[in-house]
Amino acid sequence: MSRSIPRRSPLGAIQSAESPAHNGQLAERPFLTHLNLRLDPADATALAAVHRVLGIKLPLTPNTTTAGDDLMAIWLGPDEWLLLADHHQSDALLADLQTALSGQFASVVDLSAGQTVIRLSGPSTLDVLARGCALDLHPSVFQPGACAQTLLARAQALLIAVDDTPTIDITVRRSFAPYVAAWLQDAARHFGLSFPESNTA
Amino acid sequence: MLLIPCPWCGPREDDEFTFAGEADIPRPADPDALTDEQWADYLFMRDNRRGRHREQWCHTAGCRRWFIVERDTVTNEILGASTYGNSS
Repeated sequence: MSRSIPRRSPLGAIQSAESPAHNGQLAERPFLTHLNLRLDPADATALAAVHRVLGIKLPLTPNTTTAGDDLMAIWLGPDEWLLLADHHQSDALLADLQTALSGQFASVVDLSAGQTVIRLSGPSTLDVLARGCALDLHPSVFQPGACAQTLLARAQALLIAVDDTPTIDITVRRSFAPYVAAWLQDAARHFGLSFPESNTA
Repeated sequence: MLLIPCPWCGPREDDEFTFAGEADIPRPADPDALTDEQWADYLFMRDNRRGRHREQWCHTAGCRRWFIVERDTVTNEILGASTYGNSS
């Protein structure tokens, strides 16, 4: 007898938690495709191969992103990127990249099950994050198109500026997600935002 | 708190970094040719300089790259940061 196992996101319980009175939102973006890509940026052949598959160029400027339809390439290091894509692309995108880069000095690793994205949006977003993050995230220096890897409440996090609301996407490891979500819920309370309590264990 | 200038990410607080001691200690080309004293010297012995000091840091919570920082060990002033030449 075979049974399919329903997949569960790390934060299924808070998939959409809104604080209507203050126009804030805390939500998981579950089941996205997360691919880690490493190659030498001086390798024009590999860069071109990736460009052909993705349709967008990899960002070569530190801490920036490039975006296409349902796909974002995020700078993680001088030879390392994170590709965030819609879930329905996962297997195809991984296979296409592996084919395009086969035989080259490059690697593509599927991290989709290992991390998740938490989206925090609303006028108090930066104040909430400032309670646990030392980076200056003011729109004058952290505009849409920017990203940063840093510590948020002592957990490693990748912050992505999405829009001017402001909206920040916070990528964390799966095992840190319940902690970070609970911390965000608590930090948000100081600004009058109340996101519904959830069982994130 | 130290504000450390990562060559890729710019100034970040020291919580994000890992310290790994003195820089510019090349691995001996032929370890088998060394005496135990010379090998122990390579592995364990470090200068403890007063003043300008070149040291290795890794931006652990950021871009995870290693680089070299020159720091004044008396004042903690950061005098500059550089990559290892090969940027990755």
